[in-house]
Amino acid sequence: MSRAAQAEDPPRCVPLRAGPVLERAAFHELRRTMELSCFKWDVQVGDTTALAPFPLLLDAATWAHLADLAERLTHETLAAEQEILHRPALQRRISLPRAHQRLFGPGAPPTPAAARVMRFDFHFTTEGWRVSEVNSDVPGGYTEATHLPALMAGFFPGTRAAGDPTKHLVDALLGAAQDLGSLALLSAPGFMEDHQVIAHLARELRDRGAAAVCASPDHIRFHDGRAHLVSAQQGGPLGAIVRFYQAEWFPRLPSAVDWAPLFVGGRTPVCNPGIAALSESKRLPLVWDELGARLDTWRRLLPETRDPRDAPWARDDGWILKSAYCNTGDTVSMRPHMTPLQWATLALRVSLAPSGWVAQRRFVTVPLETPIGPRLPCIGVYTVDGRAAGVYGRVTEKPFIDGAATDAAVLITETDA
Amino acid sequence: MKREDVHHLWAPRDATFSPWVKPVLFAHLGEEVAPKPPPAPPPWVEERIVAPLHAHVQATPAGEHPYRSAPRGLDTALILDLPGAAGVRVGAALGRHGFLPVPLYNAIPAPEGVIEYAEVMEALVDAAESLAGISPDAPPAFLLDQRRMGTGLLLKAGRFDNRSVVFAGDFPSAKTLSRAGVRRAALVQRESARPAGDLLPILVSWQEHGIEILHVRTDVNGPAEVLRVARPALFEAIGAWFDRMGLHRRRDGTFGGVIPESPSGG
Repeated sequence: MSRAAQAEDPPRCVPLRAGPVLERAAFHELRRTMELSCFKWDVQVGDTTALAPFPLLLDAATWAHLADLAERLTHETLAAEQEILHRPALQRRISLPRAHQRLFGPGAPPTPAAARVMRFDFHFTTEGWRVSEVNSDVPGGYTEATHLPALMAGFFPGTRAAGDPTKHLVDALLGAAQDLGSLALLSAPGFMEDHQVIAHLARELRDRGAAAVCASPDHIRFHDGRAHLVSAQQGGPLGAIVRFYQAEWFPRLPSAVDWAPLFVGGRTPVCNPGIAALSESKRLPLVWDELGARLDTWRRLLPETRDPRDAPWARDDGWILKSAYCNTGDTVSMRPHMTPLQWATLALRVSLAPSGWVAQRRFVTVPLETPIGPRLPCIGVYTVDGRAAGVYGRVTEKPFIDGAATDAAVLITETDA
Repeated sequence: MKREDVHHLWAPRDATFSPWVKPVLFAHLGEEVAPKPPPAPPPWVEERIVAPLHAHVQATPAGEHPYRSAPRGLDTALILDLPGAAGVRVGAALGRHGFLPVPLYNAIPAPEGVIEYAEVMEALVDAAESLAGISPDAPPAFLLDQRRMGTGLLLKAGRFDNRSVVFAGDFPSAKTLSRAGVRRAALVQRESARPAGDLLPILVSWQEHGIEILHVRTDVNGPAEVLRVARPALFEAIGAWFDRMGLHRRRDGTFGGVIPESPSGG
């Protein structure tokens, strides 16, 4: 069980606000640019436009504060991973897939990192800033966090983007690959849902002179721990691999696909390295008390988190449920936002396999008045190799962030105007 | 011509239905493209699509529709479910009859793709300039590729699987269509008397919200027929589920993925 301490000092005023809405013509052109040049192909869903026509404005002091918190959280997360790597009992407790448990045995050397990128989802609540989770394995949203704020800042003098996570990541990847070969960017051949992220990163790498190839895990072969690309179009040794393929999906691949060196024993650096699967588990807080690593920042910011068997989620709507490996909020569940049948189905699933789930106390996000009505913001802060690198902003009507959230540019105001 | 100019002509800034234009094929065009003179519009567009729809509107009893007097059936949305570039060419031709073509092609146009999209992309470029001047309030003509689900195609390992289906979220809601004055929707198909499985639930939903569904065929002369669409029976729903199960839909809503090798162990 993890029991969060008081999150932060109680808020004196909301450090975040919505800016004015862009003129229709300007927003139309911004959207067109995102669609045609920035790999943003999912802007329209039914009657809803998934790009906010206004920015979220964050004062510079608050951004510095969040950046500092994210860097501390990164440091603590990495320390926790290193401990759990050699403790099979804890790996079972966090519901790490069994195939990964077998890999992360004693003495298995983790594959080196080409870069380490994480995204921490911050929410400004009635108790101050809280973190709902870290996207530690395959965080996305780079184009929304890079190009959208850069384009939006052009309309709001005195503001700037919080950073450029794409550039930071590409810098790190190029540094890791050096002259060792091409970079392969892997995404899933089955669902392929992350192709636009990969395509975006590949173009940025090519623009910097690197040979970057979009591929799938079955295009990679390992010889003596070194990765080689095998495809009809291109082949040869790889200098680095970008793994945009969720860790828990690898065990489902055909046995002929040699994916283990992406996690342990590989000599070609990988981003994110397979060890990230350890901290991607939403059940990680359940083993905090058994770690030597100091996790003070996590304890301050993460809502109380329990094994579902130890939480009264079935009768208390103050608890939410999410699966251990929850992606884009797809399994975040709150009874008031579900039909009775959906809730009954979920309750059965959790009751049958509680070790694959986690219960977390709800927090109350302070709503923002925006030009499209009250919205709940989420500020996703990236770190690349431990340094804060930018922000992915989203707003939603629901009290949790999922695939239906609206992307919003987060801009830093130089003054408190 | 710049890629942005092509997209602008297909998705004019002030047009009601521009937001639904899928950007994927446009994003895969070169930065600069050279349009060729488009082929002459299919001669049967007037005879087999426009005239039957107009006749149906004229035959509608007075008072049934407040928009009955709209010229040439402009209270009618179209879904052109035609193969490949034919949909683009017919859509562009319908622009001259007061419709706004809205491309809904949503697959990655990989050169080694199962479904080949180069010709569709060329047609989008070639037809773009012919679209200038369409009223921003024009009713939509949604363009789909009848080949999208790859029915009957052989899937070989190593090819890029860009088969696709459409979902309700790819279209405006029935409420939005009604607000824009749309009272009926005509499904335009070739060599097919029934809606594709992925379109069926969309048409059912529209029908349940009071939009009359018509069916028009481009391969035969005939009247626009009222289509009574029903929710699929259980066995049809299961069949449609199997059809979609193998498709590679991504989190961004687009389709495409390399077909994996079969495991060597069999």
